[in-house]
Amino acid sequence: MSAEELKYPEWQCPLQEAILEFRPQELFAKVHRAEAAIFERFQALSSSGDHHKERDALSDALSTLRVLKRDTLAFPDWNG
Amino acid sequence: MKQVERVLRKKRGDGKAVLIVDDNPGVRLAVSQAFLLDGFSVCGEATNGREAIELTKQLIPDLIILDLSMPVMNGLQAAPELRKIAPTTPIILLTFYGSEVVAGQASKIGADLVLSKTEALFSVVNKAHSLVGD
Repeated sequence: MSAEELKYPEWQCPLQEAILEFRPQELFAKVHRAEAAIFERFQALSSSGDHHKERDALSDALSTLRVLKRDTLAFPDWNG
Repeated sequence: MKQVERVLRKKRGDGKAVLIVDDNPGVRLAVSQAFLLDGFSVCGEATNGREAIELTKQLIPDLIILDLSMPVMNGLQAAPELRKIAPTTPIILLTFYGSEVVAGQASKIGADLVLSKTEALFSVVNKAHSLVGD
């Protein structure tokens, strides 16, 4: 999916790059980039009560990153 | 008036030393800046729980900001060890996955507070001030 087709390209682009990366070393850096973009976006949204759909999409993105970190990068996981 | 504000501002945080533990350099930078801007000093940064344990032994910080999801040793694994090394140092677990860590689990592992990375950083810093007694 191109940047023009993504609804929230500022953080979905780096997320997509991480999802499509299979080389572990590059994946590590791309996961960090995606996570930093998501963090930045959450900070920007923190003063607003709106943007519920985007917040849901951001939460889904974090679940995806958690799976990448656990299954591909061997981060120790936790229950929950 | 400006002088009074400056004095009040200086007292808040009072240069208390914070250890920032997060594997993500972008997040570490943002969190460090937020604490520095509000009167704390950043005594060290660690990228995983194991590094945090080593730095805590050396630095005995006044406050530890601890991420949950990290390589090598995550926040849940590191917190009990940090608590043993620095029993009186408040530990804030700052994570995207806070809703998955129930309050009981947090206190069991030695964290004083679980805060979400979705929360505004100024609010996180305000809560940190309360924890260190400002």
